[in-house]
Amino acid sequence: MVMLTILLASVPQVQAPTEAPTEAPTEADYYQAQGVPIPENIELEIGGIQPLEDGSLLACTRRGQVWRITNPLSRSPKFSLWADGLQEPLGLWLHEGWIYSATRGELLRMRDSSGAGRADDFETINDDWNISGNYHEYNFGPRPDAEGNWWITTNRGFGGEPFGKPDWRGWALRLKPGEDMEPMAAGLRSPAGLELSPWGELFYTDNQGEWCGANKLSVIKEGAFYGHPFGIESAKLPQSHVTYPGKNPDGIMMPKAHTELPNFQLPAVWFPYNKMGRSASGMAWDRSEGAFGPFAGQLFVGDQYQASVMRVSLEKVAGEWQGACYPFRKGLAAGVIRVRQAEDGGLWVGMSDRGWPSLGTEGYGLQKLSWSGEMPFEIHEMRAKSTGFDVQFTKPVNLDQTKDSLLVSLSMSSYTYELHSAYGSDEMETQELTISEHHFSEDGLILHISVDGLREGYVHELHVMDVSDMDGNQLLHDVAYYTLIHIPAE
Amino acid sequence: MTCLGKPVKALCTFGLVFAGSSVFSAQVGMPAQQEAAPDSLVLSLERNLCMQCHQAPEGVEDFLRPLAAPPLNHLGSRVTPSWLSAWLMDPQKMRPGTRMPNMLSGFPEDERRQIADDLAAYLLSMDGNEPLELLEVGADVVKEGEQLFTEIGCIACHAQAFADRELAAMTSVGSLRDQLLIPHQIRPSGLMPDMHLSEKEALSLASWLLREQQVGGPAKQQLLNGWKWHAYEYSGSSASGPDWETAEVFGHGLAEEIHPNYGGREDRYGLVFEGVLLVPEDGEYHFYVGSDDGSTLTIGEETLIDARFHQSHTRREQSHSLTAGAHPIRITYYEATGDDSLEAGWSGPGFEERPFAAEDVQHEGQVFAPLASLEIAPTADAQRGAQWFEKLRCAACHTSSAEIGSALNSGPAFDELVFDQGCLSEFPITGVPHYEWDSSERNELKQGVAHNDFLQARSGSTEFSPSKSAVRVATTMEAMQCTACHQRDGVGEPSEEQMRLFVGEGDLGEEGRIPPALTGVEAKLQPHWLAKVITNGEKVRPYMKTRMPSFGEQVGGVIARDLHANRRPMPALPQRDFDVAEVQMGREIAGTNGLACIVCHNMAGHKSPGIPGLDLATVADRLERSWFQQWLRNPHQMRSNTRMPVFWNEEGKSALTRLGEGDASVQINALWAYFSLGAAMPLPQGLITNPNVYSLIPMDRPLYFGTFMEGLSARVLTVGFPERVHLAFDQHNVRLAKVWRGEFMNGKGTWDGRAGELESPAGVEILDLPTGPPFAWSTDGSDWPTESGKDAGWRMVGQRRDADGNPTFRYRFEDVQVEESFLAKLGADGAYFERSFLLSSPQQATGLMRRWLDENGEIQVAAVEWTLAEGGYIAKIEEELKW
Repeated sequence: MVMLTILLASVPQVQAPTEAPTEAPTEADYYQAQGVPIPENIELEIGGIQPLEDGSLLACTRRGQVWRITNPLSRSPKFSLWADGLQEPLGLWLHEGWIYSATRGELLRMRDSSGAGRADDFETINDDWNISGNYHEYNFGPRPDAEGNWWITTNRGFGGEPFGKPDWRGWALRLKPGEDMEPMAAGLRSPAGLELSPWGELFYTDNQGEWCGANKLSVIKEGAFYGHPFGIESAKLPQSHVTYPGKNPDGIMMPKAHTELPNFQLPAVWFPYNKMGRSASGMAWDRSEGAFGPFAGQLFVGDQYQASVMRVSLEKVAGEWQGACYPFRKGLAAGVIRVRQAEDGGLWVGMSDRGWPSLGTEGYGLQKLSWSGEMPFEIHEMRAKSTGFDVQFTKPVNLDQTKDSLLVSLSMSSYTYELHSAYGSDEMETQELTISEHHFSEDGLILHISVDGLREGYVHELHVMDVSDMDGNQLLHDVAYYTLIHIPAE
Repeated sequence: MTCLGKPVKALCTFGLVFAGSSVFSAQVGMPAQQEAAPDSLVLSLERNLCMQCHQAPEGVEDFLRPLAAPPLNHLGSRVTPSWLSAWLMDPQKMRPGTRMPNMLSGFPEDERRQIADDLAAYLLSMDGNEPLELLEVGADVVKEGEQLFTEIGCIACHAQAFADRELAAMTSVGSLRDQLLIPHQIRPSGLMPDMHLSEKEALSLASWLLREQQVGGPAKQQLLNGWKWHAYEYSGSSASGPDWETAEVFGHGLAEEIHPNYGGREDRYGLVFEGVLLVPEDGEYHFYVGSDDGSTLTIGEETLIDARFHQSHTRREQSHSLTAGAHPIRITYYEATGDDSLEAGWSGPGFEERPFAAEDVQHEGQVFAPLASLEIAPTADAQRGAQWFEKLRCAACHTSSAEIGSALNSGPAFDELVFDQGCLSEFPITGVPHYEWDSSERNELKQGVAHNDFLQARSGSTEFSPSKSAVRVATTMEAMQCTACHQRDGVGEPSEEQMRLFVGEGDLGEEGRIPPALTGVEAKLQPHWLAKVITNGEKVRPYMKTRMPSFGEQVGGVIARDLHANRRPMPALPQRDFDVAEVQMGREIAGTNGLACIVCHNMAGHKSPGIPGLDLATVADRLERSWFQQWLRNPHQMRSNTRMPVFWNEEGKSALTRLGEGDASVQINALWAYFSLGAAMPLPQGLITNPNVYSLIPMDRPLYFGTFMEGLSARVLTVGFPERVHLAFDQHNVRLAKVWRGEFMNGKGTWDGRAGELESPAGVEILDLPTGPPFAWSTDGSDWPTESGKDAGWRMVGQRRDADGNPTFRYRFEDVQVEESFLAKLGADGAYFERSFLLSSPQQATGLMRRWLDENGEIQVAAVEWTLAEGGYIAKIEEELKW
């Protein structure tokens, strides 16, 4: 990558207004992870988390149990078995006294009708799909939409299907109680995260692999095709809300696919492989209005391989969601599967690495990320403009220092991915971009940059180096990846 | 031939054997043992097979049980020609003490050689020429054989550091492995019992016994199919794997195929496979290696694939052009933690991609080969051998496929014997078997046979009196070498040196490693169990490494019968009715809130949290109830060195007064009632302290486990009950599919790694319910639908669990709703289910029939009877589901 170095001023050096800290701050200085102690005989391989009003938690495990954890952050929290026998539940949602969960074979709901501390009533909401006995036929969710429908996403299978090839794998299904299921969107691969946005649209995360060039975050649209042909034959069935898109060309650039393939839906955000984890999973919008720090309204996304939580900002341009992702918090105990916001704004992080490698050192776990109250110096948000981007910071940049003494290093490149049958895609058609102009807002909070050669449908990777805040700290993370679907008109 | 190798306590020197058995002590409370001395005359007659040539007086034949000589079938696949010839020349010289007499000692030296060669040629020609199987065996396998030899008890009869050049000349590793697996077929005498070896164990033992064939054998280093592997220590800390130059080797051996399990570890190890790749023709070849974690593939000097990463299974490929011929190939692999996998293979001109086959790769190695010529002597003549076979009456003792008339009773009858002209002569006589008896044995035989005194003493009735059977038992135990491991009535048991070699697991003292004494065993074990132990080697002491061998139906059955006949009349105990309360009391006594039997005993297949003493679930099946009662009251009187404590004082009261007022008879009866449920018993308190993460064990309330199930569907909810009956409800097909007893489920296939295996019940007595719904519109059951589930209109509604966790499954067919509930109950014939149905429908669903299995497994069909209720109609049905 070519580094574009801009000399801001040639005035001789002056002292920085405050002394630089002896040690650079780390993520953990701003967001602490506190672990929940787990009894030795419980394998808490978390598939879903549901905070309850009394401060306790329900956590479902990949082993089909639901544990109620009382005083989770005390030295010895109480674990009691609330339910067992579910098949690989990968999500929990509380609604009108019932706990909903997507399992392999059904969307069900359960409740403790007697108050004895265990679920005693289980109801099948919908089981219109069949499963084959393939381990990889995971289902994720559910999440309710504004109309009171339930949504789940279904994973494609890998390998043997001992009880026959099933329909509706790699789909987003809408399930109304008492009615037949409605298969709404197709072409998903490994859609491990499903979440309802504050404005009522559902988003899902998908995992890199065949027909999925990199991890991604997409909005779920009725009738859309997301690129994976594994379960697309089901689109020919009468229940399908997706028109059969035909056979995928094996090898077409994503922007081209977007314009040429019927119903093809680009993601709102790509997570460049390795740079931003390797396996995007559960997510949560920060609805705490500040209790979790400066990122209110933004999205936090787990990564199973990296044992991390990433951050995403979104904006709607020309009718489509697009936005940027940023590193946020690495070094969690195990591979992150679920992220769920607690009442106090903290983020519950549920983990399991069984079957897939993770940089986390534990096999499973439950941690809570809390904001320390200290303001980290971060790129708060990157927004697209007609000629470039606005980069907003969480706190003012030390303009004096910047103007008077230091170089600001900015660099940008853009690339896309190819839609093809091989596992993952390299970054394709990479271009180094020239930042033709930049300037800070007067309050030092926003950096406006103009860029030559913006491309629609490409990831724009920005590095911002050698800026510091008023305390002399460098940015905690100096990179952002903006997926530019549309260049705003003005 | 004799049994393999050299018995330590060879039966050759009877004087020695009997010297140890001349002192007997009758024990208090035990059956009369006054005449329990082995009968040396009987032993000698049976062992030497005298009755094969000489007709014994009437009545005696029923009493004597000759120890059959080995059949001569398929000798060619068991022995080398040169060994067989040498053996026939002089068996006594080759194996002092063998039962085989010298058949040729009366012939001149040069003639003997020719006869032996001719006979060998004939014997080996009988069943066609099956070659001895020559094998290459890895050093790791040989080493395992050495450990097995000591551990499982071979040393009780065979020399400790057994290494025999004679055996090494006789047979091959492959052949000996096969012989060890079927000893009863090779030697119907039972003298070499079946040690329950797996094929792998038999190969290990054979290779260790024949290890001399490897060093100094005639076979040279040669190119053999397959790979050589070495296993290396690896800490897992370096992502690029071990440093192969400096890493420590912890195992090595031979591999036919590439997989990650050589060396026996799951985590933190490295493997290197080496050989030469046989490239069939010049051309472009395509190689692949897939691994979790790292791997490399090197051909010649060129590393084609270098994937030294910590990774989940990832496959990499590389093409390479090669010339026809042999190219060195090396595959390295390492695994840090977690899942492991390794695959490697190739494709090339004219063949599709496949894993490397053993024939694709060679390494330099050496087969084990007999230390003897594999060729029949050139001057040998099989036809002449056949004549000798007949002339020497080989068929009197040996069966074979030879078409030669029986030689049975071809000698003079007992009462016509002329002692110095036959085999009792001290000097060899041409054409007469010569035995190397010592003078005392020879004299005993002469006197016994001459005076017929055994006739009066031992025959006359086929019924055994206790005293007679006691002698029979002692004689057989001596003959079968039971006394090498077991003491009975003061006779036998291993030498102190051997005793030190017996090993056991856990802290059970000598009881845990020395095979038990057999004094009075016939009053302890139930006859069917005694027979099982002797014929099949039934084992209840898992901690004891020494194996109880099996002597087979023919030999073992007779010993068991003798022992049973030796038994005094047993006290008649009153029959007791099954009582759930009594069983529950027994369960409580056995648990940690009671007398805590489980602290020192395994239970129903589960390890004790303390000492792993024998499993109490076998007690009621194994033991006589009278013995059990005595044992619990006075263990030390019955076995002085036992660690079994006494729980009841002299007044018959235990410290556990809460149950049955501490009364011994009440509490012991309760324990017996509880143990009588066998492996299906509900488990006692405190047994499961640290459950294996995959064993699913319902203890206090039902346990639910959803899984893919073999033969059913991918959506099965299994429910395990503490009563140890369990069920599988198929939610895809909307029906009860299976019920079973004992263990519930093991979750490994569903919970380990990426899982997704089809599971099956872990227990026993699995009943498969007939396919199809439990209710249907049918006339008489003959047209019952085989489809249920969604396709047939049945839908799951959900389930409820009552306060104790018992399930109710809810499903419907259109507007007919069904609630199917289960409760587990204990019963005399094992636990069972109370299954009940509640049907409801807004209209009376006329014509709806119910189908069920009765206790005999017969299908029954009846109409559902509806009654009017609020809001519609209902039907209630109760069923005892027993099987």
